[in-house]
Amino acid sequence: MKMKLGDSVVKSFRVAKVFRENTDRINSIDFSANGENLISASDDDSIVIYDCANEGKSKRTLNSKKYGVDHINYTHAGNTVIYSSNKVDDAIRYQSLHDNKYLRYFAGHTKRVVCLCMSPVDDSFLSGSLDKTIRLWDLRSPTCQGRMQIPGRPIASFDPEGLIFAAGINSEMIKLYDLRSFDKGPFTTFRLQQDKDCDWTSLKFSSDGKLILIATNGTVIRLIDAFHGQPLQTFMGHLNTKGLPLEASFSPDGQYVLSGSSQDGRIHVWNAENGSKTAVLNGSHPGPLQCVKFNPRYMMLASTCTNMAFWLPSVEE
Amino acid sequence: MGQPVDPLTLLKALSPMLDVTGAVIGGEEMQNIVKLMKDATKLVSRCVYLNILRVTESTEVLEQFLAYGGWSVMNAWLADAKSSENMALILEVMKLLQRLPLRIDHLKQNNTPKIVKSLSKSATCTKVKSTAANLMSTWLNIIRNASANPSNSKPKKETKVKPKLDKIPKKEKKEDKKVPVVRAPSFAKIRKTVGLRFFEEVIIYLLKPGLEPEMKKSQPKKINNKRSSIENDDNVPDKKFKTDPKHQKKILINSNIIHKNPFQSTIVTISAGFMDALNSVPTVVKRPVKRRPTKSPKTNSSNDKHSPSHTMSVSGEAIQSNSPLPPAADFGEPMDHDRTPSPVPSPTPSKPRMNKWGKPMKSVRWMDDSRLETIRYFECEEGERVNVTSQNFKDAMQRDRMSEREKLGDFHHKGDNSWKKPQLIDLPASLVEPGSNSIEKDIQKEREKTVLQEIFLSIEMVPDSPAEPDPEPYEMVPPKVIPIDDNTSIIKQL
Repeated sequence: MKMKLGDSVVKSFRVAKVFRENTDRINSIDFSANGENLISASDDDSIVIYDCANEGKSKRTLNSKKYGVDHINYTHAGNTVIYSSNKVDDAIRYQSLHDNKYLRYFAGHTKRVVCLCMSPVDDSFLSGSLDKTIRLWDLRSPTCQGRMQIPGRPIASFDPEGLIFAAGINSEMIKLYDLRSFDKGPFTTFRLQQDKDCDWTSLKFSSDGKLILIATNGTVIRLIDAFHGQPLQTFMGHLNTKGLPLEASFSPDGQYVLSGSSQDGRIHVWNAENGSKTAVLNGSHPGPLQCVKFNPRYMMLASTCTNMAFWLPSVEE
Repeated sequence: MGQPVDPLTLLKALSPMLDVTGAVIGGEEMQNIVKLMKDATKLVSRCVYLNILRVTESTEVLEQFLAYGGWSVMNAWLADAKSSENMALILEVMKLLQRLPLRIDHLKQNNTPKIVKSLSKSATCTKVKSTAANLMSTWLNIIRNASANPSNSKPKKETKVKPKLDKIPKKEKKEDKKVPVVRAPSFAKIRKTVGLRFFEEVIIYLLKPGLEPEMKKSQPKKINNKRSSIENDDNVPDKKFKTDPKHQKKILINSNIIHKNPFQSTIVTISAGFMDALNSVPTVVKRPVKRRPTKSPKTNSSNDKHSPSHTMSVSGEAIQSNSPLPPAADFGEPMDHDRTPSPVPSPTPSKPRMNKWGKPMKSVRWMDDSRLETIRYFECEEGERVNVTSQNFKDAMQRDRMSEREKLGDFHHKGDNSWKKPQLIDLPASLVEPGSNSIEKDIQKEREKTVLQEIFLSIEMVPDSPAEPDPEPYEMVPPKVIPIDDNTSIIKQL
């Protein structure tokens, strides 16, 4: 029995479980592709794996005290992850959770990595760093496959089919590259009005590949047509007074946009189509609500500050 | 009462009533001073008043002093000093008494003569003894004169006359009607608390390294300066004295008179008194520490008995006598606190641990075995009816805490029970099968077949960092450049 996602369901989401496994901010989370597991990385240098579909509990905790852990992503094996380091060096590390062992390091960035995106289809992944480069990698090789020099803070993401990738440049341009011919340059560039008072901090495609969501460290979230580059919506109303790179994300059907808030512990949900606010969900998060993500397959949400909260709809269908 | 008295402030307050030499100006001022003296409970203030009176030469003014009740004040102070065996203060009081224009009715009025007489006979300190004897003879002279000429009870200025007399005749007449009654009992208290507090303070200041040498040097002069400062200072009520290190030095000198060791010096000058007092301070040091906990004036006396030997050995060498002081004196106050409770802790851990809750607490260090055996502890079964009166407080508290924690936990883990397996979302088919083109996932699958899983039974077992990767040879190939611009691309300007 599948559940349809609609306004009434979105409005009915309530915190069903709170986990206090971490002592510092949870900086990134990722659902496994099947929606069964959730992995979190925290500034306290620990990785916590949750069972988020069946029992709703934390399964395992691993440490990465030596190198730190940020921007954690599942790879396709289901038991392997990549994440960026925030200690020692700025390498990206590929780890097997199965035997708690690093499989490979991807060295190249010379400053902190600010975005990391796994291809939805194959073994390639993208990283962007404050060293003003975007790099393209393959899990099977420690050598960098492609390197783009850009003028400012980078953001990059694959489209849901894994055929193209988008790079956000200077908080004013989105360049789309074909993965098969990225060395020929972007096949299209969208020039937008520059966000002067904030930086773009993340870029995401909707699951149908038609929309691009740009989160900022300011008080706006932008929605852009992925085919033509028109700005579609600007979402506001959530608080971000501290200039944090709060994560914004799509619902799995691309119908809603979700973002956390820096102060009031609430999740703001907007309708992607008309830009109206659908719901404000109170998660009572004590700290800035850093990450909000919708489970890609199940009707559940995860939100984080230092705590991890699992949300379930309170209405039955 | 608890406020330390700064003599300089006090002197300032009194200064309008004093002339250049520090003496009281006239009868009216004297009346005020006597009033103040009645309220003076601290050693510091008493010493200040004594010194003021001692420099007051005018017989008329001194007579006013007696008339306004100064005599009974003196009596009270003397009695007080004697009961606390404060030889220095006794000496100071007697020095003043010697200067007072007493008449026979004064002597009859209270037991001052008796006190002085007993001092002249039994005082342990020879100096006190001799001064008391001196005083006695002066007074006997007064009495003799009075009996010789009963109509004239007014003595002449015989302050300096020292005839030998043995008895106080009882048949003199009165004149002093308005001598108020001084509340004698209050002095006992003063001796114990106020005086001590003052000592501590004095000592602390004494020990301040910066102050000490300066003080030593300036001692003799200081007295004179102090005198003059008496007159120059302005009027401030007795109670609210602010302490100021600079002023404190003076207190020190002034107040030390009280503790001046009579053995030390036979020079009767004021400055000598101060010097002596300074030198003898060490002997005083222990007093506050020991006395306060016991609150007994007796302790004081016993200490006083030790003091001569101490002081003797020190023999007026201020540096020597002062230097050993600091540790003890500096901590005079804190030590007090430390010491007072010190006898308490030992019983406290053992007793309250048993009594308060009725069963032993986690630590059994303080318990003796016999006690441990007497305790019986019953585990209450769920649902069992319990005798409410037998329930001890700790159990109740524990239960309360547990239930509170449960509630709080419920609140925090909002609906821990509300978790249920989420439903699948009704979604259109995914555009691609996730990871369908991944080769690495198959590599990992193969790997997991041969590599044992790391299982950590507790969080403590988890290593700080995953194992380092196996080294693999690879050639550094410069990455392909991803151009930021492509001239062939269509740039959409929006």
